[in-house]
Amino acid sequence: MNQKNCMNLKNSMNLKKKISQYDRMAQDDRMDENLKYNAWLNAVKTNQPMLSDPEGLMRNIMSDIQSAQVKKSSKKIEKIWKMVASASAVAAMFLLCLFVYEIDLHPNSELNTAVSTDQFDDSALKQRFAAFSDECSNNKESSVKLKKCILKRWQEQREVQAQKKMQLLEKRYSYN
Amino acid sequence: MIHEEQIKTIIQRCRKNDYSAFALLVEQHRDMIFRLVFRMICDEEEAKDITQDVFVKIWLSLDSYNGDYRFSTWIYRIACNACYDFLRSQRHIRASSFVDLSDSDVKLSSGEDIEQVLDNKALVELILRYTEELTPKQKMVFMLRDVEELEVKEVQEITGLSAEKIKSNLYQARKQIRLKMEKDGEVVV
Repeated sequence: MNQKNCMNLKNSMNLKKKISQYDRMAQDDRMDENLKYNAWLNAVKTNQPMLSDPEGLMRNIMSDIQSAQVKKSSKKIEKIWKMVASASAVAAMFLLCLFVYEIDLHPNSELNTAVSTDQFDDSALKQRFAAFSDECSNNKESSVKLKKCILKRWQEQREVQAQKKMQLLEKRYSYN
Repeated sequence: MIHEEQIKTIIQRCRKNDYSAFALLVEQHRDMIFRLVFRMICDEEEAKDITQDVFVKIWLSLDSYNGDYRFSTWIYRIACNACYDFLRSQRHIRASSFVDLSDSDVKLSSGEDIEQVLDNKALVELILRYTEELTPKQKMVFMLRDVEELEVKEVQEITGLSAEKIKSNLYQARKQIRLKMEKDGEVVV
C-alpha cells in the first residue's frame, strides 16, 4: 500500500512537473485563443515521447526480419516451382497436340505416304508374290527350297523398301 | 544522422540480405518513427508494436525503394499508412477506452523507468485532450505538418493527398482543436 501511495504521489508530482510550463502559460487569463493553441502545440512538440527498452525493440525487429526473410525466400522458391510446373504443363500439352496431329489428324506426310503406299500396295505385292511363286514352283523344288526361295525374295524386297525409306529420310533432312 | 548517399549504400547492402546494415538503418530511424507513431496512436505499447511492424515492412519492400523520395520520407509514408490503418480500426474503441490518468494506476513492468513511463503518459494525456475527436486523416496531417513541421510537399509525398486536401484537413483539425479548447474554457485541467 505504501509503495502504491508513493507511486501515485510520484505520478502526480511528475505530471505536475511535466506540464507546469504549459499550465503556467495556459492559466494566464489574458492569454488569447491563439496563444493557448500555440502553447499547447509547443508543449506537444517539445515533449518528446521516450522509447523504453530500445535494445529490446531492436532485437525484436531483427528477429522478425530474419523470420520474414526465410518466409520471403521460401515464397520465391515456391513461385519458381509454380512457373516451372506451368511451363512443363504447357510443353506437355504442346507435345501431346503435336503427337495427336501427326498420328491422327495429319497422317499423310511425305514419309508416311511413301511408306504406307509401298506397304499397302496390295496389287503390286500380289503380282510380285505370284511371280515369285511361279518362278519357284516352275523349278519343281522341294517345299523347303520353295520356302527358302520365297524368304530370300521377301528379304530382298524388304531391303529395297528400307533403302527407299533411307533415301526419303536423307532427302527430308537435306531440305531442312 | 547518416547522409542520404550513405543511406543508399546501406540500402544496397540490405538488398544483399546484410542484417548488420539494416540494423544501422533501424538504429538511425527507430526513434524518429517511434515518436511519430506514438503521437499518432497515443499508446506506448501499440506504438512499439507498430514501429516493429513498420521496420519489417521496410525490410520486405526495400527492393521497391527507388530513391525518388528521401529515405526518411519513404519510411514516414510506411509508418503513416500503418498508423492510419490502426486509427481507422481503433477509432471507436479509442473513444470509449480512454481513461483519465489521474484516476488510474500506472502499471510498470520490471526494468522500466517510472519517470519515462509517466512522461509518456503525461504526453498522451496532453495530445488526446484536444485531438481525440479528430479523424485519422486530420490527425495524420496535423501531426506531420504542425508537430513534425514538415513541408506541404513532403506531407503530400507521405500521405498521397493533394495540397488542397492537406490544407482543408489541417484547417479542420486546427479548428476542432480550438473549439475543444473553447469548450473546456481553460486549457489546463
